Amino acid sequence: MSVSRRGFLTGAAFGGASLAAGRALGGGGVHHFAGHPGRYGLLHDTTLCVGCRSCEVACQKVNGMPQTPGAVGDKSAFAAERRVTPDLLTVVNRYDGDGGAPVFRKHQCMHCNEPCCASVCLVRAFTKTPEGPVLYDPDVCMGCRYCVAACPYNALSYEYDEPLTPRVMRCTMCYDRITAAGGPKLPGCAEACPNGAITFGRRDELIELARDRIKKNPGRYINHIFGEHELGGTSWMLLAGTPFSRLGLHDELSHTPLPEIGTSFLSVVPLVITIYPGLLAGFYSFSKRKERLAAEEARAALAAERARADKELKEKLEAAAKKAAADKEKAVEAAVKKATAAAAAAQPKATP
Amino acid sequence: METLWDFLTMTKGATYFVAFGLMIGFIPFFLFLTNREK
Amino acid sequence: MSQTTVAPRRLLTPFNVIAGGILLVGGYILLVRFIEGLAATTNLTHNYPWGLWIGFDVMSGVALAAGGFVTSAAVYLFGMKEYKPIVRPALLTAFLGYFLVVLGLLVDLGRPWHLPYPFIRQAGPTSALFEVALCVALYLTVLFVECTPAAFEWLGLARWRKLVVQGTIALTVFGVILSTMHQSSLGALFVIMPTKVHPLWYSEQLPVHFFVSAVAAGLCMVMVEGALSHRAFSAQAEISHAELDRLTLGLAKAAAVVLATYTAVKLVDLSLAHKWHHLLSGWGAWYAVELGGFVLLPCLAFVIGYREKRLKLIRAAAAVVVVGIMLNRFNVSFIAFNYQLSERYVPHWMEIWMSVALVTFGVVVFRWIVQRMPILHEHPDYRGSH
Repeated sequence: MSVSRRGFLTGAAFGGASLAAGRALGGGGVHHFAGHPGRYGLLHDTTLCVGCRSCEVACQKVNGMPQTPGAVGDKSAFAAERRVTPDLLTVVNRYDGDGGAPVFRKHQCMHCNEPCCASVCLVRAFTKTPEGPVLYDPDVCMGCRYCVAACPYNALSYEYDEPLTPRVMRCTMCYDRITAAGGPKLPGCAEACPNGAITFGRRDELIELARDRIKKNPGRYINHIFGEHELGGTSWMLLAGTPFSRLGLHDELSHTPLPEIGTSFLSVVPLVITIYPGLLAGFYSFSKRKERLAAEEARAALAAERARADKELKEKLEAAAKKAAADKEKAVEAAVKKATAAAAAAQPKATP
Repeated sequence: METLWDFLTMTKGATYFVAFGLMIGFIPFFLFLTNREK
Repeated sequence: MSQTTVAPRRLLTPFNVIAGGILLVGGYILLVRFIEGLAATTNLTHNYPWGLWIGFDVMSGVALAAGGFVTSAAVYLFGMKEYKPIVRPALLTAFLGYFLVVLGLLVDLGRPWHLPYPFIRQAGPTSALFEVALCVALYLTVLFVECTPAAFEWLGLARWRKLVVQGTIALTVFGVILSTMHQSSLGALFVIMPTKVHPLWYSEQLPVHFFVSAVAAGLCMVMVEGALSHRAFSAQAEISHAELDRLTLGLAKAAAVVLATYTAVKLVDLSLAHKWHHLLSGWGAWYAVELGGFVLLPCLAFVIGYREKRLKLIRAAAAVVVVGIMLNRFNVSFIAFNYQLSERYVPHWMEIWMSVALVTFGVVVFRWIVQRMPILHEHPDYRGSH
């Protein structure tokens, strides 16, 4: 209590400063996005649910869908765990509680605070409304079904039998009813529940209510509100007396919203775009350089060989020329010698 | 292991050894592969 | 050697009859798909929204088409000029591969005419699929342009050809960037599903796993495709068997290294997320089959094949890796998917047939092009040019 009061006082006194700090922290990646203030939510108290399936029928009714005849009170549907389908946007399933006592849990789109379906949609067909519900626009939907695959609660379904205009089907939290002019009308299921197991209200007030129930009935509940923090929190929240892992839900789920995990890799994409051109240009230059060096080496070797050959040839020629010159000289010398000798021989005793 | 920090200490620490081992292991693999080229 | 004139051929060859039959039934399935919907043609359920048409046509198709960027990068960026004869067939295979991916998507998407919506109506940049769609659209264009020189040579448009050829390096760089991004983004699709994909296959590093395995798949696909087209179109093939064998040996060496790297990356992931104990479960045995039988075994085969120049062994190993990459993509997208549910997905025969028909269509188009354009040989007028 003292912490929140101090937080409140700080906020009042240094509102501007803390806002600026918040922005700075957001830049550092530790900013917490609290979501739309005052948004609606629903609390399903499984300890009050008797599995009458009135909510299922009411859901079909308010959504203008064909109603399953005789569903209310029919327990045969609990033989196997059911999932939501295009003509049944909410289902109640039976699980074994402590000592084999049945526990009923209603399932539908949880209307996540940070919806996975919205983050994986490549045409942004989903919107998280300020009122809380996550809405879907079939007019832009491509029908890739990534949202159906990604939903951690298996709460989406798809109209596989529609050849050309299939839609993703899911609970809308009765958006039209809760945003009706003249004050919110209860969602169909909450209105139909005969046992008060479904409570509609502002999400933060529902959390207070749930805490209060846990505090006042310590034996009845586990001290955990499913959906308060799971994967970033949900609009539909649950109370139970049995561990949630036995009610078809994951226990010990991370508090990190899945979109945060799922989009982390996308920040690498701009890095690839910016680093690769230089990196690849580098590789290209290396290979070009290697090629050029090899060519130069070959050229140099060729030039050296040619120079060597030239030199050899020159030397040979020179030697030959020298030899020729020498030969010539020798020949001249010899001729001169011969001539001199002849001349000497032709002039005998003539001179005294 | 109760805290995230405990878990990370164990996994990150162990992975240094695993990765280092794999790196060392690559040397004989590559030498064996390219043995013919010599 | 000019291929501009084609000798009149008999129409009722065994190939044409079989391919025609497959395509005809494929056409019928297409009709059923667009008249009665996916429910009549697939075994997809609300829990298994992605089946064979995503796991095979898209996931495996893109991975197996990685040979295009791997070989063009090797030749044009890394200067491994001797591999030039296999670049054109690899690029054509890649282009047709991506084309088939888009065709396959058109059948699988609920409202296929919304395919360009992310770019013309409303973009969802937080989606890994948006990234995939953007890159595939761009890369398909790049591959098309990279394939046009062969067509221009065939049509005798020398000036157009020159224009494209001048941009080879830029196109290759762009192709490598786009490939790195979408090959890994296909893995990133599943990073948001930690509660659904079995821990042995799930990883926050799935993008890296997908990229590295795609490089291996691309190399192996080039080997398989090279061997098959060399046999089927020996009249067109310019390089001799001996030369193809020599190139295959080089590819085998590269594949051995990439597969070894992939194994290491997978082991690092087991360690980082502390998943060793899962290896002892039934899923662990299946994981061991995949990693041991389709990664380590062919890796060993490549090593032995390279050292001892055993080409049959190398080609068999390449085929095993091609199957292995499909198995891996199947595992991630529907086998090890929903591991906590008892419901399992088995493809409808129409899904299998449709995928086979797509591949058949690709082979028919490949054959048509290779018999006309200078893909497996150089055009005599441009011999030795870039």
